[in-house]
Amino acid sequence: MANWKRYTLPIVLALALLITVGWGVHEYNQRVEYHTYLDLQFQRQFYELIGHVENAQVDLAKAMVAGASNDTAKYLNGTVYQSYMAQEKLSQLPFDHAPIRRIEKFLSQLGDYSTAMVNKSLDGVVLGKDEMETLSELHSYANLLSQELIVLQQQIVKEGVNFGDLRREGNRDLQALNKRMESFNLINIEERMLEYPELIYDGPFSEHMTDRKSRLKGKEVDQNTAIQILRDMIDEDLTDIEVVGNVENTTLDGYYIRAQKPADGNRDNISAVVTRQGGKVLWYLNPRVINESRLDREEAVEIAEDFLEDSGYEDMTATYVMAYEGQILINFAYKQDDVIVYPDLIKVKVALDNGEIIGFESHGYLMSHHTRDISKPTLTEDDARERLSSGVEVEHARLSIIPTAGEKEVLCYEFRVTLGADRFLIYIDAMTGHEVKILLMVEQEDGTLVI
Amino acid sequence: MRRTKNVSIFLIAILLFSVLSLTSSEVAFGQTLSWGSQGEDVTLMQTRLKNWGFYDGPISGTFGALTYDAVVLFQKRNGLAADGIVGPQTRAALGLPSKGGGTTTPASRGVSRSDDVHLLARTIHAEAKGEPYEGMVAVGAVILNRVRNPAFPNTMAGVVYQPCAFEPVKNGAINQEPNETAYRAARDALNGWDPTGGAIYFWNPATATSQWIWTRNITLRIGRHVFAH
Repeated sequence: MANWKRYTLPIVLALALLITVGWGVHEYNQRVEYHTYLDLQFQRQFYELIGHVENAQVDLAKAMVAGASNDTAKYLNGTVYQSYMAQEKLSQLPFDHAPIRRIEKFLSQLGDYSTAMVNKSLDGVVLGKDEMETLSELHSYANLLSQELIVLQQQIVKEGVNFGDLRREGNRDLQALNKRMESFNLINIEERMLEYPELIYDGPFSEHMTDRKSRLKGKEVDQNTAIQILRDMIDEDLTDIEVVGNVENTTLDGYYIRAQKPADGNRDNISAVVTRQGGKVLWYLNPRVINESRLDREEAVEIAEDFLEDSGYEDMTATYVMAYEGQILINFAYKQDDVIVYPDLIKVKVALDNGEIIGFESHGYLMSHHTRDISKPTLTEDDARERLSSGVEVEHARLSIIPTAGEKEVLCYEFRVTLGADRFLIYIDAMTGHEVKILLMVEQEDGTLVI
Repeated sequence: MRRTKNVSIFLIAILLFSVLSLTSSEVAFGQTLSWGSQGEDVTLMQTRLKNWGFYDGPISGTFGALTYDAVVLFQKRNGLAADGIVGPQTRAALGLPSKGGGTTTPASRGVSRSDDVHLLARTIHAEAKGEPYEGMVAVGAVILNRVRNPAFPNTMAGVVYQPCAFEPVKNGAINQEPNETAYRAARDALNGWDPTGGAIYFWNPATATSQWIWTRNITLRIGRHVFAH
């Protein structure tokens, strides 16, 4: 009896130890399994990345030798797909941003430029000499990239870099890989990329998009003037108002201002930016708690219209209204000679409890507003209407200027149509009759288009 | 002798417990409903709250301001933490199915930006908790600027989940349920408010380790964050 008692404790402890060890081994094995799984996923993505870059390059080569413009379009479509896939794979690999950003950019632009060329080819245009030269240069960079990636791949296999080690601390391999990508292979590519042509075309990733100039004119204002401008626009009784920072290195530099706005019983912390040149409020936000709604849509739109007029923005028309969580967002576009100019966009938010302006944003307007020289459309509205599919029912039509993917402007007939239960906006170029854009209107709970 | 044995038992016990508690700290993810949630569960919840007199808005299947107020009121009356978030406890008190009960996204409806709102709100919540409101909008704007930038992935999920990009994604903090302010900031960012002037980077000078990041063009500082492109 005494003996039995004496051994109980050691036995229990020994068992506990055994269980712990067994559990530890199990956990370790599981970790190794996860690790291997992750590593293999990354290896796979790397292989696929190389595959996509190679295919993009091959399709590009074929597009250049293809005779007819529709064949060119066919192969360039391949390039578009393959380069976007490659970009996607690359961005899923655990590399630091700095060494791979040029490659990501190259792949995006390759796909984007090819899209622009596909669109041209589909219009029956045979690509010109300049465009062919650009394509052939892009081709040689794609070639270079796939070769460098193959070299890197071989190194990874040879030296056993393990992608599965995601923890920075114990992860010399991955750091070394990142360094290596930075040090020779990619610097190599980066250097040669410097020579690669500035791609300027009609697409969202085109080079001219990054250095757009604002059309805002006017004298530079100082801090005190900026503060007064904000007071005049929002509320004369703002307190604790001060410039807390400067917005620099942008197309619209300005003063970052914070203040308190007197409200029923308490004070709201508000913030805004006033541009240095011209002294315009670029944006304004009042993130206060909103109580029960008392206003309806029409009243809110009217308040916003009055606010814009009082602030010196004339000829603005509400184009879209969306209500959510006690507030209402209204998009305004500039209207010139009965043509809606969508790029000149101002957004106003109204609180539905007391009609206060709680948000203002005018980046689009300040960037692009000017008096347009609108030429007379060569097509009549009826001509344009004939270009629509016969299945649609037109509810409304008007002239408007819309931005293209590359921020150029096109004069279009805007048709609001229905097809079955879906509603669309279709834009027909008022000069050429081409269909420029089709928008499917997703019915949001509280969103409505104002036409 | 006896004393040392007791001590060693004690130590081993502590060791075992600490190991066990490590493994059990995994969080079970129920279907937490909060501001911005949609779906059958929300419809069911709204119906219940309406029947019990806490809610008098429409049965829309969308968790908005009215629903939020109703949930807070319900939580207060029932001695629950009044945070307006329907977690496991509130869910049980409401009598909602606790596991796998219905989907949170409605079927057969066009893809709207509401799915983006959730992801963006989660990222903002994880990255910019405690920052001024415009600082939260700014973080959302950086994510959206990256989507439009050729040197980054072309989708919001691609940008948010890009390896080595955001710390909260790496440590899982992104899975936390965002609060109401994060949702509002996400909506403002999606609706075009960009306090950063087109920035594609932001960092906290106190914790940033990369030297390279300081070579960027700084546009603005808000709260603890530096924004740059």
